[in-house]
Amino acid sequence: MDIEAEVVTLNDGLDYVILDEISAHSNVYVYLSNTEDPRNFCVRKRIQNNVGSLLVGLDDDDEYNMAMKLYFEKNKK
Amino acid sequence: MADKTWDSINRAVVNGGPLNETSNYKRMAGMSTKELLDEALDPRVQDLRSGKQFEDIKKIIDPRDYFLSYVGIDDSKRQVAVAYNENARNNSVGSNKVSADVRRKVKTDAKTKNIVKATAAFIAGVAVVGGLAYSVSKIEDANLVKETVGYQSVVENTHRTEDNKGYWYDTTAIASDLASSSNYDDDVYGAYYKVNADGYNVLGTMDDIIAQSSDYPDFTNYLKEHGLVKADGSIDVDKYMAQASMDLKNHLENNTGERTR
Repeated sequence: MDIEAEVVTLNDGLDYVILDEISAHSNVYVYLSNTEDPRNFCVRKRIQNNVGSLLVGLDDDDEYNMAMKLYFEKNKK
Repeated sequence: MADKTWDSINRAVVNGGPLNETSNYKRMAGMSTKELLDEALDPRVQDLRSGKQFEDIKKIIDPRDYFLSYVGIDDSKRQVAVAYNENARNNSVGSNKVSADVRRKVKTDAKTKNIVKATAAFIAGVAVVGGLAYSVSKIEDANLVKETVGYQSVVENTHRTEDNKGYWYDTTAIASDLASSSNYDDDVYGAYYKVNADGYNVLGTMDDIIAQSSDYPDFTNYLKEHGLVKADGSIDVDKYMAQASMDLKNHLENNTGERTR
């Protein structure tokens, strides 16, 4: 049975499917997988500014580790 | 009929998924990640996950290797799996990674999406298990530093170029926040931590902030005043990070702060 999914084009020009969104520490983390290669996975933060809604990279490795922990905790069940 | 985009996902999965046919990927795709991890981790590593006996376990086992070997990834594949995680890390970190959040709806089937999600959960599992062994204290430090006014005052999205690819800091506003801070040193550290993570003109930016918020002419003199100078006369940034992190933790635990400007 077909289901709907959302796809967005990131700064590298590639399409990514949105796997999940998790709110934590005043941020919304968006988890994405490249539509051409499921091994190509990444995380962005969703922010709102005067330009509109943006997906931006994480601050540092520590935030990446934290974001991955959030994803793992939510999706391990 | 499936969207063309999703046809490509199907092809990628059919052609081997995240690991090749000799791996345990197909078995993984049929199990929840929790089942997989619970099966993979013995009681010693379960303790590690809950933070117990951390130091002892760290000496005994590398949980990342254990996790990967248990799910059927041998030495050669292990490097590949860790590489997936490093690839994900590189693709995720960096303030230069900016794009408009414009979404399109596509159709797929639940099985395909579950396989893609399982791949992501596996990468996250590698990151978490490895991260627990190597980064617990770093994560704690990061969470602490993000509470500082200095960290929160450095915002790369306040001023962006029209194409959204570039940005500049409002060092005057940051300096103003620091100047009114009762924990100046902690907030300087917070600001440095954030600017350094962004990686854009770190010393120049910090020079501007320090000059506008203190009696020091620049960041280098601020560090020299705190004894953070190497034998060759250059500033010791690694020592500064370690010392400032420790001071911040102590100040937050004891509800104290210092003002040395």
